[in-house]
Amino acid sequence: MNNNILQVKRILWLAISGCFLLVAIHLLIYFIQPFDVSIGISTIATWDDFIINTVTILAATFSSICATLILFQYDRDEKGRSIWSCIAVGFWLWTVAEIIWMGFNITKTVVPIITIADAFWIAGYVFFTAGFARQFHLLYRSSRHALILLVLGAWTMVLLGTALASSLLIGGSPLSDPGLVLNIFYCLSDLTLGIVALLFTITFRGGAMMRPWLGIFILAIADCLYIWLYEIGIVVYNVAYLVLGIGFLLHFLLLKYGPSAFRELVPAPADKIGSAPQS
Amino acid sequence: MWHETQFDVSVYSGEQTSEAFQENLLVRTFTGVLQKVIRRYNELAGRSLVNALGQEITNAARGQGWHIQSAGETVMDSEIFSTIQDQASAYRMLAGLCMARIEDVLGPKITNTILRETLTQLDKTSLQILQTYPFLAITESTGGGGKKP
Repeated sequence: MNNNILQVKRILWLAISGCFLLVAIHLLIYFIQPFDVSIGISTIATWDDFIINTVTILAATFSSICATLILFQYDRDEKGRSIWSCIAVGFWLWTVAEIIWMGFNITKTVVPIITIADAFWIAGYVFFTAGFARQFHLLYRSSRHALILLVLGAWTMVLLGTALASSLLIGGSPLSDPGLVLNIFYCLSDLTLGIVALLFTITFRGGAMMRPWLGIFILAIADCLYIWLYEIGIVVYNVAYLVLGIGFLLHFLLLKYGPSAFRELVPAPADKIGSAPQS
Repeated sequence: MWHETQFDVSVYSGEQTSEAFQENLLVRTFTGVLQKVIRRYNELAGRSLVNALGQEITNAARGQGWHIQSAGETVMDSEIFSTIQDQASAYRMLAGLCMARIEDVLGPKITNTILRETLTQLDKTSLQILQTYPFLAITESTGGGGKKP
């Protein structure tokens, strides 16, 4: 038992230190811009941009790894396995998208409005939807029929919202500004997933299983913010990704080492166990 | 004619009001309720956490010298208590531990919901025995019974 507690402490200490280091590097680069030198002649990107993008990728990779570790804590026949398979795949798709986008960002003078990275982000949403739907079904025991209607309804609202917002903001054909349309779609998709993640957070509130869903909620909101406020948004986005990663890591450690390993880490609340009978 | 050894025969009443019958009902209710709760916990939290819970319940029982074990979704009670009151107290302690640990993972809201669902599925006889010898209670903040210091 003591070994488990030591392991948990060691892993958490390493992870949290790493996260703080990444945030510190990002803030240093963001405010001081010490490497404001162009990477190459065919691009305006600087080494500062390279480092910030790398921080994003590291944060996304950390979250994806932790989601994958959670997945493998479940046996093949367990429902948690299918839920976390979808979520892990979703985050890996987003990590690939970040890598692709970084490639464009540091090699091109002007990053195309729509790139292959968008295909990975959109594919990620599909897998998140599947994972969230499975979690919803498990929690609320909804009928399959009702769940399909709910999912289709939600995404129909996202698409309609995208179309409506686009037409209001652009004024003309949405095809005249596909980048804006895509940003609106991403924002509404993030909000939709964020609302569902918040629902799960509230449902699991007070329990350890709240943590990963709270992390997903925070990332969804941060991503929405990042879409519109790139400069400050990216700091929030990276921090949110790291918070998510820590949330996932805590959940993995809970599954691997059991709740008792955590009970020693935090001050114990009043004992809820009744006293033994007097024989 | 043959000679038979003389015996003394004792006849025990098999009425439902007898303490032996009540004890048996209490065992079945306790194991039945806990198994249903743990089954739902397994669906939501997964096998590794259920195994950890089972280990805790078994260790707690062993610590008190009771022959009560929990493994996976199964709860087995082979303990013979001196009185039914002792039995109910023991169950209260173990059920309280179980619900507290589940609440630590799932949170009070879901834990309470699981408990309510389980209790609504109980038959009339089990409900009566639970009311007579309560080992579970639903509160606002916790799903389990047991005394809180």
